[in-house]
Amino acid sequence: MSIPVAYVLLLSFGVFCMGACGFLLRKNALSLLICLELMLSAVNIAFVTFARLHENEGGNILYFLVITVAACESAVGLAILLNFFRIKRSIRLDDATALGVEQ
Amino acid sequence: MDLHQTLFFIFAVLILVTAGLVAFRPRPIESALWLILNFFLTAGLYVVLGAHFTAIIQILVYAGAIMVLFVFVILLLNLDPKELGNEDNPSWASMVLFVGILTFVLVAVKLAKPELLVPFPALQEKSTFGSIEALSSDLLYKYYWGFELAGVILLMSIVGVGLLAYRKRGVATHRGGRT
Repeated sequence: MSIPVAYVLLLSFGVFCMGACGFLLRKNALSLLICLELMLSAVNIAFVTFARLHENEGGNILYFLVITVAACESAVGLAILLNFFRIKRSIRLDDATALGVEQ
Repeated sequence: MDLHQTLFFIFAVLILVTAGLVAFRPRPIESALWLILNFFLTAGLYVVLGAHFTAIIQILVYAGAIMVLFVFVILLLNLDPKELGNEDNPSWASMVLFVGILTFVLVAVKLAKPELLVPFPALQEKSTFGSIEALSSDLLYKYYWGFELAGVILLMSIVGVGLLAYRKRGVATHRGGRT
C-alpha cells in the first residue's frame, strides 16, 4: 500500500471543489441537489481516509452519519422541490422570488 | 508501482472525470447517471483503502437508494428544456482558478505537512479494520449516541416529508399558487 495520504485527501478536495463549482454555477434546483450529494461524497472520502490512516473505526461511523444526513437531506429537498414545481411550474431558481423584491 | 497504487490512480482519475461531468452536464438526468457511476467508483476506492463494508454500504445506500430517489423525481417532473432554464457555460476563468487552487494546496501540503505525503502505514497484524464486527461494536458501544441521533434525524425527516406532502383541499398555499 504505497499511496501517500495527501493524494487521497487531494482527490477528496478535488471532488468537493467540482461539487461546489457546480453548486454555485448551476441554475436548476435538481442539479443543485445532485451537486450537494457530490460534496457529501467527497467529505466521506476524507473520513474513510483518516479512518484507514489511524486504523480507527470512528471515521467509518462518521461516514454512516453522513449518509444518514444525505438521505434525509435529499428526501426533504426533493419534497420541497416537488412542491415548488407544483406552484411555479418550473424548477429554475430564478423563479424562487417569494422572499425577494418583486420583479 | 504495485497493484494498490495502479488501482488508486485509475480510480482517482475516473472519479475526478465523472465528478466534473456530474457538475457540468446541462441536463439533470445526465448528472444523476454520472453520479451513480461516481458512487460506484468511490466504492472501488474504499475497497482499495481496505474499508470493505463501507464500500458495500456506498453501493447499497447511496447508489441504490438515494440515487433511485433522484432519478424517480426526475421521471416524475418530466421537464422539458424550457422549464429547465438555460444554463450558462461555466467560464474558463473559474476553471483556471480551480486548478490553480488545487495546485496551491498541493504545494502548501508539501511545504507544511510533509508527513502527510508518506504512504499509508501497513495494517497491523490481525487488524480488523473495515470488518463488520469492528464497525458494529464501535457503533453500538462507543458511539451509541451518534446511532440514536441518526435515528432521531431520520424520524424528523420522515415527519417533515409527510408534512410537505400533505395539503388541505381548497387552501391556497402560495400567492398565485393552485392547490
